Amino acid sequence: MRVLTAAIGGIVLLAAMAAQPAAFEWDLPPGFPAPRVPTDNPMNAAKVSLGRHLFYDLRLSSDKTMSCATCHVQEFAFSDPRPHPMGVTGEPHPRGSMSLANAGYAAVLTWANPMHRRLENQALVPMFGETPVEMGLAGMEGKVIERLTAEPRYQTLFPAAFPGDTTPISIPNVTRALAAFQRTLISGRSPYDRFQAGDASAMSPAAQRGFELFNSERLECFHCHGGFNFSGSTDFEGKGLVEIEFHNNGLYNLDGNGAYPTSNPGIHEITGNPDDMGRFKAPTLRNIEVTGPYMHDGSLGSLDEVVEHYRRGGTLIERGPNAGDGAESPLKSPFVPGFRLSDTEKADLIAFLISLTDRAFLNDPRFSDPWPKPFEPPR
Amino acid sequence: MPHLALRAGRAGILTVAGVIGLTACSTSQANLRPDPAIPTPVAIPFAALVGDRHFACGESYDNLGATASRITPTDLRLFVSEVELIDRRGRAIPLQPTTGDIWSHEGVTLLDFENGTGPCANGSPETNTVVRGLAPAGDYTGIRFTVGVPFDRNHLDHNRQPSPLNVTSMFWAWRSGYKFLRMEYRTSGPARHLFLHLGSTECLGADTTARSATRSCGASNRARIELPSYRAGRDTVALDLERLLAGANLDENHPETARGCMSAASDPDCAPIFANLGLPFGANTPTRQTVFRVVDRRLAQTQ
Repeated sequence: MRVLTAAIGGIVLLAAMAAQPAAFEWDLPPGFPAPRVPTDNPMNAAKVSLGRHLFYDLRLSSDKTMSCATCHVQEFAFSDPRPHPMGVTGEPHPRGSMSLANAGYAAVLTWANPMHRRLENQALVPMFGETPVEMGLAGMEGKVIERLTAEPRYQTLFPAAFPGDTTPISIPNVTRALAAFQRTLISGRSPYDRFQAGDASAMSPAAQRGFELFNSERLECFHCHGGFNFSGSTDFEGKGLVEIEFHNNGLYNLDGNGAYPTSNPGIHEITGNPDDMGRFKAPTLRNIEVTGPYMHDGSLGSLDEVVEHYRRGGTLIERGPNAGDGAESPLKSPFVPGFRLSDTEKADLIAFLISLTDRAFLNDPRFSDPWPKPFEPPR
Repeated sequence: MPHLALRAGRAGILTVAGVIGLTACSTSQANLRPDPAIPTPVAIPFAALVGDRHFACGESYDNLGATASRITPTDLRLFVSEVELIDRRGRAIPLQPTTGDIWSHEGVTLLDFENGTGPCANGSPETNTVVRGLAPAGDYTGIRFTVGVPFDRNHLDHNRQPSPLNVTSMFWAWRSGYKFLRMEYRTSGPARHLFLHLGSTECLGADTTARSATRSCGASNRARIELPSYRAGRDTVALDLERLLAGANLDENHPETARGCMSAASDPDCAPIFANLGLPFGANTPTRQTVFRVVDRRLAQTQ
């Protein structure tokens, strides 16, 4: 009896194991933890492929002129060199496109919204958002499904990505596939990473000195750009406590009380809390060389200007509607006090930042446009 | 294949039986005299006080430090490790680690008194004020613990460590390891906002070029705390910020040093704080710590 029970138990156990889908192969860079994946959107290769097709699909905009890739361009680490990318109606966005490199590790998404925790939910904003209009799909859900259903590739890709789903071509599944593809956009093979792995020649002496400066208590960079992703708001599989941080870095101080331009008040726009004025997420510094212009509004054009901003402890705007000294903002993060930095040290720091550029990521064919005829993104 | 199935099934049944056995044990424990040899769960509650007041995010506290400053804390977290309970005969019994908890890993516990609200907004909503572990039943009348992460866990790749050793905001620069204690506050003084980051300093690797394992730290800065009158099961260990900051300049930062105290032996802002923790500092020899004390559990809860 006991043996029989054991045998039945074993069969049940094996059957349960067989029902489990194969574990997804992440191809993680050395030292990288696995991204955290929501239980309701497990990874599979077909879903990633579907997400890649959707990411580059012009049919996800009202007039079929824009895809996600229009404003998230691979050669710029899936950011956009325009400070204010425009949507289908020509309305400029108040904020620049964030790099999607390592978006799957972001504990909180976009520049300044504590509510955006899931890539699945965030994907709805560029598609259906109206303030500003980006891809302009508000009210067009039925039309989008019609367009996608007409595409032969999707007739295979959607059912493969969502096995068992009786209506696989759906808006929720579009967001799930886009999220799955974005979770594979992992960048961690820069010269800095090779240096970390033991190749002492991967970083120049200048870049190594810059790394020491980055980690110094004089510059304090690492407090907000800490961890393997150089962003304090980082999450991954096995992380017990989710950390979400927003900082006012002294970019503006319109009224002496720390006010930011009304178009970009930081998370104050979401929370309404006066203390949240000008608080934004510290983005990843990976590939920062190619993700300019910098800051949420693209107001700093070069890494040199960015380092000057932090060296001074805030930006001074002498005239115009945004005039004010950010360095004197009472709302500024205490980690942005300003510091002394020689010109040589500045060059070293920038050499370090450039060592975070992952050329393999920028050219990885797995992340490129899968459609037969690549389109030219409007400029 | 059938052989495999049999083995898998047997393992499954054994596991279930094990769980039942444990359940039976714990339910009958009330009626049985506990076996002193079997370690049982121990919870050591901590409280954060500011003099006779409780620490809370959003509260301000007056008359602190050498400068009699008014401060508003914005963070308070610390690692506690190497906990030992002292019995009546003076024997030290190491607290054995428990598993399956985001707050501790192999005997290193993160105490987190900030709740992510108000001025602590960059923290986490979760809090933890208890060190948990296992110890044989006994009459414990004292406690010893370390504020810090032991050296052999302090310099690993923190992204690959289990919680709480993967909390980014408790990790310091790559050479130094973790912030053992992170306390930050706004001040009524000109500095506006100051930090106290306690951790190892003057750490050196095997070589200076590549990222090599940290070999040693010139100043380990782990505070070993002994409280001889701690009654396990009855008392709470209190961390008193008033005493932690006693004698310190809370209004201004010493020029050309890290903001507040970031543990550098060259930073005069650290001298009184290190003395309060009983830590050596530069040429100063360690003294008796004054930051932690024992309070009655009920007192700690009702204050």
